[in-house]
Order: sequence, then C-alpha cells, then structure tokens
Amino acid sequence: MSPELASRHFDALGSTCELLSLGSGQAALERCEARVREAEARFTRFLRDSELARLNAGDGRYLPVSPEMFAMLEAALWAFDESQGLVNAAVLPALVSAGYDRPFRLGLIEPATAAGAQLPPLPEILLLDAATRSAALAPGAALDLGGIAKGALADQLIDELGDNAVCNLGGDLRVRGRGPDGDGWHIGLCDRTAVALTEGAVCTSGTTRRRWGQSAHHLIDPRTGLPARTDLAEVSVVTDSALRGEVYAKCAMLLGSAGGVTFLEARGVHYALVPAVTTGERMLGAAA
Amino acid sequence: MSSNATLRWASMLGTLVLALGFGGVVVTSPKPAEAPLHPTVTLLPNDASIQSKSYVS
Repeated sequence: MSPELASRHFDALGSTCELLSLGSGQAALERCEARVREAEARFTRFLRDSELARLNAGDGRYLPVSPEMFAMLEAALWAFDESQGLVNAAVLPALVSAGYDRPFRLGLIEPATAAGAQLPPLPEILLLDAATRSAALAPGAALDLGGIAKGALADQLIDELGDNAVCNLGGDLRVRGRGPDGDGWHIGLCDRTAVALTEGAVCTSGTTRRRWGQSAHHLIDPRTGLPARTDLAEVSVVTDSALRGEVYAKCAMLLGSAGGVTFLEARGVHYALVPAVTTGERMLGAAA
Repeated sequence: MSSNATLRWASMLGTLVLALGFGGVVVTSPKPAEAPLHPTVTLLPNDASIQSKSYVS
C-alpha cells in the first residue's frame, strides 16, 4: 500500500506556507507548523517584543541572543558574502523609507519623494560574538530577516517532515524524496514550466507581489536604497538549499536579465525568468 | 575502524560538545555548503501534474 499524502496549509511569515509529506502523517506537519510559528514570533520586525525587534533597538550594545537568532545572523552574513553585498539584511531603514512600515495587509503608502542611499555593508554594522553568543547592531542600523529566514527555515524543517516531503514557506521551497508519482516532487516555476526533484530547493523572487503606490515594491536595491528598477518581474532558481536559492534568485532580480543570467550561469543552477513589461513608471510581470 | 566511521564519531562528539556549550540546545547552522551541490533536475512536460509551486510572496 502506498503511503498517504498528508498536507497542511497556513499563513505565516507574511505569506502562505504549504507542507506535504508522504508517510510521516499529520503529527509531523503540525510539529513543523509549530516550528514555523515559533520562528515567525522570533524573527518578525512587526512585533515590539520579538527577538529581532529587541536587537534592532539595541543601539550599538551587545545583546545576548538565542541560538536560533545567532544562527540566522550568521546566515545573513553568509548571504551578504555569497551575493557580494546584493542581499543585505540591513535593508530595514530603506524598506521603511519606501513605505513598508507595517504589515502589508494593513495597506502601505508610497512616500511622495524618495531619497535613497547605499546601504552600509552588513559586516560593518552587525557584529557577532560567538563566545558570549551575543550580537550588536550599529546605532541607526536595523535588520529585516524575512527572505533569509524563509529560506533557512525551509532547509532546517525538511528534516522534520521525513524522507519524502515538501516544505514550502512562501515560495521558498525545499524538497526531499520521490513524491507521489515516484519520479520526484513536481514543482512549478515562475514561468509556468515545472521540474521533478528528489532532493533540492526551488526559490522565487520578484516584484509582482507586495507592490504599493505607483512604483514602490519590497525588493530594495542595496546599491541605491530604493525599490529595485529591473527588467525582470520574477526569477525562480533550482539549487541545493533554499537559503542559497533565495539569495541567488534575489541577486538575479537585482542584476536584471543580462547580469542575472551571467550570475546564474556562472553558478550552474537551473533557473526560470519572467521579464517585466513597462507601462509608464510601473513594471509588471509578463506572465502575470 | 574505517576513516568514514571515525569521521562520524568525531562529528557526533563535536555535536555533543556544542550541545553542552549551548546549554543543551543545538541549532544546525543554516549556512549551505560552500559551493552549490547541483540537484538532478528533470524538466516536466506542460501537462504534468504539479504538487507544489514556487512563487513570489
């Protein structure tokens, strides 16, 4: 008898999450959801008493942090290094300046004028001390760990779901096992193509969601401190880890089609692109 | 003991030392391997069934 497919859908981390498992049952999915909610409470920037909010308010002081936060901050520094600065968790002040100062569902307002500035390099404003498991942020600096947390969590939580499962946290997705058809899990990419995977990750970045006003969106270019202007609407990347996929997809979006393709080809990953179509100031996804 | 077995035991011992150092809590580092390990990707036909989708959120 073939194992039963268990699934669970819920809203967390500002998006929809989907857990699928063959053979491990609903209890494993419930444990995994609990871990996602625990992580959301820790890493959200929208709750004053979250661990991230306390760190952001640290004003230059070293603060003790949880093992989970310390690991995520290490991941943020890895992402900065791996992306040559294009994925910079110190993006929060720029996001707030662009109008993303509250949960998206509450409605955002695009500021009349936008004066961006290059973001400070993350390693210059985020200091970690492993011996005391503490972290310090330079005064005025603040972190948003949204994308990094989704990717890193998908990588960590796939182990909770057994050896034949999908952990999809808002489009950052980690896969393991042969899936219901026996040839791997069938995963759709942003350009409506699909791949079968038995081990790996698929992540998509883009500017087609979380838009507000005339031209504001959530993807900040750290080189300008402003919402990115790019000729791509969406990029999906297939690679070994969801954290890496999140970083690569975001890099390609920021680099645009020419630079993005060069970046992804150099790393030998499978990818899919959706070009943007320009309508005045707005750039929309061609496949939307 | 083979070198693989020795490595496994060393890894377990390292994890135990970390667990004691962190008051019993071990958090796996979310940092991936240094270079991408390329998974085997099979392209599916247009009419293939999809079990999950990666999307912009």
